[in-house]
Amino acid sequence: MIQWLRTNLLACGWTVQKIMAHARFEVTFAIFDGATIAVGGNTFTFTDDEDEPFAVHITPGDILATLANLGRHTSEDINPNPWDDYEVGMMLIGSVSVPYIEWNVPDPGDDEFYNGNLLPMALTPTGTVGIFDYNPNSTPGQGVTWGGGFTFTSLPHDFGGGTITIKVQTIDTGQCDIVITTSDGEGVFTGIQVAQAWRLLCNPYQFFMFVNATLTAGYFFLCASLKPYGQLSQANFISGPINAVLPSGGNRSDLDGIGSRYYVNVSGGYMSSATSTLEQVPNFVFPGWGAGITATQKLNNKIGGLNIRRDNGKGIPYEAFIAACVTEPNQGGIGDDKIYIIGALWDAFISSVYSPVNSTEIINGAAAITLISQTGNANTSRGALVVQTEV
Amino acid sequence: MTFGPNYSNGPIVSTNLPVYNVQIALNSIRDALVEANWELVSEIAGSSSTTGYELISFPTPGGLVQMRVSVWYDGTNTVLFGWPILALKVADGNGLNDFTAHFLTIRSDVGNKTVRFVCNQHQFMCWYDSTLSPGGSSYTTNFFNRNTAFGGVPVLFDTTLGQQCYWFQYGGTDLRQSIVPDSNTSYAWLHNGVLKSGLNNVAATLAPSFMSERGSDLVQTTPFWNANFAVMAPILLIGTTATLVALSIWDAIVVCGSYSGRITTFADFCNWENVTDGGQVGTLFHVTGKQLALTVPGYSY
Repeated sequence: MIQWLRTNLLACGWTVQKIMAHARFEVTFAIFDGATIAVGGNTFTFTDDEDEPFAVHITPGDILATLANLGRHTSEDINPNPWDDYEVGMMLIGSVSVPYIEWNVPDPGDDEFYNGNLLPMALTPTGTVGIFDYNPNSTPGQGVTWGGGFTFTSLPHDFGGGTITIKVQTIDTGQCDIVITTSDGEGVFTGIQVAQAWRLLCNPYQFFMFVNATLTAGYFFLCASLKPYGQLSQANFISGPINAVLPSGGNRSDLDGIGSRYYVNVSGGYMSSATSTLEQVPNFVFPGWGAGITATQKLNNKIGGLNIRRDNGKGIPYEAFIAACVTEPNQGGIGDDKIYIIGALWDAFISSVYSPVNSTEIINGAAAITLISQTGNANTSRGALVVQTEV
Repeated sequence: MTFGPNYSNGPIVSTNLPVYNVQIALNSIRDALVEANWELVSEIAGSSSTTGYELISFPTPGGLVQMRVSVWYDGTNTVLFGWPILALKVADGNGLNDFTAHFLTIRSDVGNKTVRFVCNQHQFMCWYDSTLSPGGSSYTTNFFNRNTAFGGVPVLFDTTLGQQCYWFQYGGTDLRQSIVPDSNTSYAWLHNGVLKSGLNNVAATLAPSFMSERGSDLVQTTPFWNANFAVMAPILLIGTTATLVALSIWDAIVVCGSYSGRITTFADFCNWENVTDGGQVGTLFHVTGKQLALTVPGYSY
């Protein structure tokens, strides 16, 4: 998934920086003279002049060592086992009680490939010493890599030059999970259900990830450097799931779902929490009816479940604004709450006419898709978020 | 996508109408509409030897749709104090499908009353501003002091020739108070051969009202914060719950916030003034003057 994101976001103009992985191995094993281990496509050979093989034991608190490509280490570098001159690709230090080591795969320079392997993707070393793979490190000789990934930054837009930066990395949960984190650390989204058929819709400023067949939590992610509204120069918005096991948020069952788990940054960060107030929750914005929230004020919202069409039968496209409350509301009632329009999605509009989710549309001759929709009732407006899929 | 105003590209008349005398008020209404390219059709012999007038609007572009407005004094007075109340009848371009309202109380007892009157060649808006009229709050709209009437031929996206259409409302907490008037507002609209009139908030009928930007979850509080209101073309809703129709009006926008008091501003080479003044979500602004003759509809702000 991370590779797939990288390929497509690069193609849309996002800038990418790699994030080094962590690797962890069970490391109590025997090393024979001439034993080899291939890690990330590199083969390292252990040489020793001892007659007998020996186990390399690991001790808590031993120093982490970095993987030295083609470096030579003398026996004095290792405690407590003196080796003669040898070439090694790594040093394995740990202990029985802490039977693993961690090290950062070094930065080989500008090239993010390391001997033909794309860093920092999981290393799959093979060889005569140990077996390393993605699986949890509960078995001697097995290891795990995590934390590798990329930092993605959107293209600066022409309305103040704002960008959004996120980190997409693998996480060490014992299964194939990823975490998406905002650059300020305020937004952490761990609930993406990776093992699905995901679709990606992206442009230089935003991307949607979604699973066609599923609208519930965990199967939708929106990351946008919005076209900022009014006096703002930057408005960043993310809506996505948390909790890989029991995902919350990241759903597109209706237009209100974007306010479940979200991140908003308008010259400051705000992340949803269990204590966030209703006034702060992000909303899609489009023309509605009624001056307030009570049935009387909305005259019973007779249009709640109706398509709104012009007299020529056509629907009305509205700008895909998002409104949110960045600061705590004054709670003084209408007019005092700080919820306001922060920006608009790109290449998208809100339709006044309901169309089923995943249905295709044509906008000015270009294909589009209904990403989210709702039929509307007394408390919700009827409409759909339609996003272009081609220009 | 078009989000900007629908400019009428004709004259705009913005005036404080003198309504302290029946004939003076009738003549002023006539003169304002004629100046805005309405055509005088006939005179109406009214009560107390007054003369009223029937006028027809300028044809709309495309569909050439017109409406008629008749204004006269038929002898109706307020129950208390006996102040004259002017009658106004709206009808289609052929004079059919009409609806009559008593919309304007004539008073001079605490100063010569005036009302704001803004019209273009397709629509008219009449409302009371206590800060601009002699008599101040004494003439503020209530059951006795009737001051408001709003209507016209809307912007139609179906330009089929031969159709008739108009919208009208007055009274109650009307367009002056809220773009979604309350259940005491009277209205009439004609569209697609259907004429509806009566009090607002009848179950299956939608009286003329406008839309404003708000969140998709209507339970949330709105409006949006004062620093970042959206501006949108006015979407006028009429119809029934079975056939809801979204039209628009001329030379107007909706600013999706709440305002109180009189607001004037300048944008897009036009002078603007708020019609609604009730502090409710969505404020209707109308052009009151143009700096340049706009030949191509456009909008920037």
